[in-house]
Amino acid sequence: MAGRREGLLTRNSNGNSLRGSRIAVAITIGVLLGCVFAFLYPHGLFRSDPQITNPRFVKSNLQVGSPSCESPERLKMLKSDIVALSEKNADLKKQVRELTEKLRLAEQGKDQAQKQFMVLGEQHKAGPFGTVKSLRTNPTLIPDDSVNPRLAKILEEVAVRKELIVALANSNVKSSLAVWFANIKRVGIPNYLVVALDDDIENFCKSNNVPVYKRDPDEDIDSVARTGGNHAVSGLKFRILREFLQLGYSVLLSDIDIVYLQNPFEYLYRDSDVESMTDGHNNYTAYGYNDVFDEPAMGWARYAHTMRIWVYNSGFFYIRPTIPSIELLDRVADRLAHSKAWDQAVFNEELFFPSHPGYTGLHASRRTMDFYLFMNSKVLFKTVRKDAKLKKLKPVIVHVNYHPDKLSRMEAVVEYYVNGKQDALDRFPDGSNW
Amino acid sequence: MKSLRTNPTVIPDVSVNPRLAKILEKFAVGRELIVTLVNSKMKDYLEVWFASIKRVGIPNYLVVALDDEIANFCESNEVPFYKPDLVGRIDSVARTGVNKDVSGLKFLILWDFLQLGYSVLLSDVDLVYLQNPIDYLYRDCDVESMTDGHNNITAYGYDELFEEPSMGWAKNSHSIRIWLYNSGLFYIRSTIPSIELLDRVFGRLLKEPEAWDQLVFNEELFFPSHPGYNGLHASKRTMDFYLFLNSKVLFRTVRKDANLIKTKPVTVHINYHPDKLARMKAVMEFYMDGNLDALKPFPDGSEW
Repeated sequence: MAGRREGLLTRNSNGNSLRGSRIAVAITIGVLLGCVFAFLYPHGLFRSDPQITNPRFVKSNLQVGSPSCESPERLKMLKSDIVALSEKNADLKKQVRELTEKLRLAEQGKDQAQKQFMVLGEQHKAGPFGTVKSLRTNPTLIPDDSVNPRLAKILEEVAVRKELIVALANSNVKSSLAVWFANIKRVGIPNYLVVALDDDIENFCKSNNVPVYKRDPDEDIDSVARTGGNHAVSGLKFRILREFLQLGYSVLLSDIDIVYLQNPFEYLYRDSDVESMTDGHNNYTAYGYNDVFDEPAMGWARYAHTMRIWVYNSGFFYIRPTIPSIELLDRVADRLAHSKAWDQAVFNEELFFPSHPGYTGLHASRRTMDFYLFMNSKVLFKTVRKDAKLKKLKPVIVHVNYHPDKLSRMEAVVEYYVNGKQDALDRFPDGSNW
Repeated sequence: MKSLRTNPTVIPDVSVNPRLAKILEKFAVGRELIVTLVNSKMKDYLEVWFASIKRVGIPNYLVVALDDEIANFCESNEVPFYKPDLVGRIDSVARTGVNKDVSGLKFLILWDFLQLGYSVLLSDVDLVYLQNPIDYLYRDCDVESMTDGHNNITAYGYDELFEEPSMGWAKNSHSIRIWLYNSGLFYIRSTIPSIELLDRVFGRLLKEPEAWDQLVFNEELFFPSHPGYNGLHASKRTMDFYLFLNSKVLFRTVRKDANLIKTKPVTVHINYHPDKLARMKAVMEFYMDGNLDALKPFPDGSEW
């Protein structure tokens, strides 16, 4: 190399300056061409990948107009398409839910009808070991419209699948009643009815578009409705419900101090005469247990065993129109008419006590509702609100039965479960001071 | 309006157990009879048991002999008996003679009786008969049983208050409470709910061998349906606890009361005391032989 350079230099100095300048020109032209190509083909002459890597050129490429990009009008159209399809989707999902529910109810009904046919059809032999099933689901009565034609018409309009929620109300509970039906409407339950015990409530319901029924005047019932306290009015339900059952309707009897968070009809088993919520607060007290009684003086046999179960709450129960159910209502109404007893106690005694000398027991089948879904307020305030896992469960209803400050607790329950305010329940004590 | 408590009986199915069917035809009266289950460990009790039955003059009773010794004992004493063909593993339970296990067997064996269309007054062997119980039955429910209770409220049921002062205004919770039915003396009618009851009790005893059969019997009779459990739908009647005496009522209450002692019970079940034989004999002497001192030597309870 050193030699050639020297050669170039020596040649240059010998008067080959013309060739040297031609080389210089060639070099210059080459460099210039290179700049031009660099300008025109920034990604290289032979590169086949058209991907834009240099952000400086993105804008210009967009403006060149490739067909997959959107104009604002088209964007708007697509957005409204999405909305319309989402709505249709939600609608179809709702239909699927309703049809599934219908199917489930039809299966339930068919299952019960089959069982009833099998057991009641004719006297028959028992099957092999492990296959015998007695009937819990008693057959329903033949409806009798003549009992109360006016009520029959109202029920035809309001009830769905021959069942509905029924509540009794007088003006003492007006503010709770407002919360009661506000939640029912919000959940979207169509089949409910208020039995108005006075005109004030009747007007209140009518002006709020709440299905209402006011009985024909009956001095017995009306005097209690006017002047009676909570317990006395509560006792009325057993007389009033009889007509509903006779007309062939199943009733979900509801107190007014109940907040609805889901549709209870989706959670009923409908396989017993009475399906009721419990006053119990755990698996044992709610569903029954052996409460051992210790008597040390007996020595060897000091332990006596007993069956114990917390009472059913007569403020929320589903009753089917069967003969045992009507007999239950009659018995309770009759006993309340003749003694100053608490209707819930009588209701439970008639449901639970077996026959014994001097007393013929009722023969009704019973089912206890799940106490976390159909929640009483002791379970909520003493247990659920303090447990991280249980708090996340959404109950079907909350009954503020264990506390006297019902309205404020009902509103707090709505704040917590419906509006999502996590601290809505915090200010209330477990129990109550008065 | 009166709902049905008295369920219809099943159509008898002789093919279930033809040998037993023949025996029952011979000994039952009005398609019902007293039945007891015995193995050789209980021979002494059995002797007093059938002595009292014969003395009262009850014709329709049957001993289910769980082994040959008892079968022979019955035969030589002219006592109607039936020796069942037991399946292998159940047979071993019968031989060991632990009170509780033999007790559980009754639910399996009774099944045949009900299937054949007979209603049974199931009796333990530590029972003394002073009158014919057949005359005192109502027969209007699936199960009619004696109670472990000792007064009106414990025997027939009551509302027990549960106090929780921290709840303030609502400190009182209410619960329904009743003392257990004694599965040592109960009348069971041959109906579908009754057969289902036997199925359920024996099925559970097979799965939970440590369980006490009397407790399972009561749970199936009393618990309502709840999530995960379908309740039975049987009608129940509690027998009069002064007529169908348990030994706690007798020794703690009746024998000390001038009026109550004059009532002659129908049966006395020595369930609350371990020295059963001595007490059974004393009861016979007191009520049947008129020996008014016969019950005196016994304490109310028992030391061990």
